[in-house]
Amino acid sequence: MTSRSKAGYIGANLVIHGRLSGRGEITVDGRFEGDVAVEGTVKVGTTGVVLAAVEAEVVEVAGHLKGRVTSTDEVMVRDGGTIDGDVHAPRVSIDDGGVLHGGIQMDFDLPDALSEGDF
Amino acid sequence: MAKPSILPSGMKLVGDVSGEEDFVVFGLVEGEVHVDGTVVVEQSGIIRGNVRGRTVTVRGVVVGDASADASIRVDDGGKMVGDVRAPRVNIVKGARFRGHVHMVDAGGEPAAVPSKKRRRRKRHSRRPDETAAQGPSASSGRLPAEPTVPGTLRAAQKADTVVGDAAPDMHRRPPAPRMPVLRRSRARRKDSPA
Repeated sequence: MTSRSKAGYIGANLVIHGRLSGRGEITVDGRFEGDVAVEGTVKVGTTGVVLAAVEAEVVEVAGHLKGRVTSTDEVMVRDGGTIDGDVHAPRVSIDDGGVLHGGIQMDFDLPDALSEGDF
Repeated sequence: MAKPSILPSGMKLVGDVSGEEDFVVFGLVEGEVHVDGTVVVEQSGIIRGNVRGRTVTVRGVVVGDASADASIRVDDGGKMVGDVRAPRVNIVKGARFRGHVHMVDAGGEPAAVPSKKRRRRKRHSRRPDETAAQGPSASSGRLPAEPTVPGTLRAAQKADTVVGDAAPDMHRRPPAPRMPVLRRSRARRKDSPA
């Protein structure tokens, strides 16, 4: 039961409209519409559909996510996963078979030699 | 429904939950929960809003009305403020509850009790207030506003569990305990003149 209380799970037949906030890990195999702002990990499973702006440390998408994604750590688009929306994160990876429609904004430094230009 | 859906502790959901799933709440839900499976509000869990499921179990806190197709159970340590509506309702000893209890069968009618049991219970009951509570008008459900006491008693027999704070002990208490009291008083009388 303790492991259950740590990780959240939204089953394939569950539909949620609203705002999810707090700390921890949650996996969405069902449908979530609204907003997600979690200090932790948000996983969209293969059957998951998330229509929401998502803020989290880590976002892993194997299903469908439509909305702006803001991460403080890492965003991963897995094989079969789709993100429709802009992604803002220090690290973003798209696996083979993963799809992203939108922009990626990663903050990082360029070599000093290029610092005069505006990249 | 092998794996239930879970809202973990430390997470807050403001909004509505629906679907054909079991739903276990360790965190906080502000909104409606309406699922086809079982709803469990664990010790750390809080739901502020109405809850509906096949069964509803409250070990944490629910503020709102609950209705279930099968049964509602407020466990020891659970707190609930709101009305409950289900064919079977268990308010376990140690649970805190404020609200009405509506015991209805699947068709929405007040749950029926086999007449045998009702008669047997009446014979045992000797207190006037208890007899009144189990009178024909109350037990037949013609007063939907307050079927609480007879409804709870019915569930006690049906589910064979401890139900309600005050209700269950009444009809189970046999007249036997009066005997030692009488003996003691007789003994005192014998002692005092000697």
